[in-house]
Amino acid sequence: MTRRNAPKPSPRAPAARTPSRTIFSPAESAFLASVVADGIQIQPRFRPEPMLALTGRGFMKSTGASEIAAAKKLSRPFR
Amino acid sequence: MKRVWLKSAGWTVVTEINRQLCAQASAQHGPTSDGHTPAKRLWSLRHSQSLELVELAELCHRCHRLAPFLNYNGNTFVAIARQAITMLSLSPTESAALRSLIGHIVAGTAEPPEHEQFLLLVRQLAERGR
Repeated sequence: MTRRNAPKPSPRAPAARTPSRTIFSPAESAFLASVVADGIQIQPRFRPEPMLALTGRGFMKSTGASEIAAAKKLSRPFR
Repeated sequence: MKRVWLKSAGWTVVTEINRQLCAQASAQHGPTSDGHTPAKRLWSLRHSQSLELVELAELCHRCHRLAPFLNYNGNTFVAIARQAITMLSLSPTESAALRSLIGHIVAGTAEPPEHEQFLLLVRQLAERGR
């Protein structure tokens, strides 16, 4: 017998939060960690939907010249 | 300037990257019915091969366009391409420019001038033999 007031599963998958069972090599783990770190950093620039498949035109919010400006600042020699 | 850019990025790694990015944004992770199989086939065929930088961008763009996952295809393949080029030893300015250009190309938002800039930068790097 099932409970009538049992909560419905969310359409957004909480299952995705469970840790992966796949075992990766050290090189794969390192690559994965770097990509995910960068991916999370740039995530606000994207929309979740697979737009490119539908329209042929993707979406990525521009950061303007700030990325290049930050790099130039880094490359400037210390005085 | 051919390299095996994606040696450590088999399809299971790509899937795990997408899963973690989706989890971060509480978005549903899973394969699409039409795009997953062709993208997986293409990626599995090409990722371990030696590719030109332009071919790397094209592979990531095509897989983005095939939309193998329910959400965050763009984020996944842009982040992979951006990470792959870190194996080049470039100045911070060049690195940022290349990261930005390849990101826009893979995301499908690059305009013709950006494509030209990308090709110019690739040519310059090839001439320098990096």
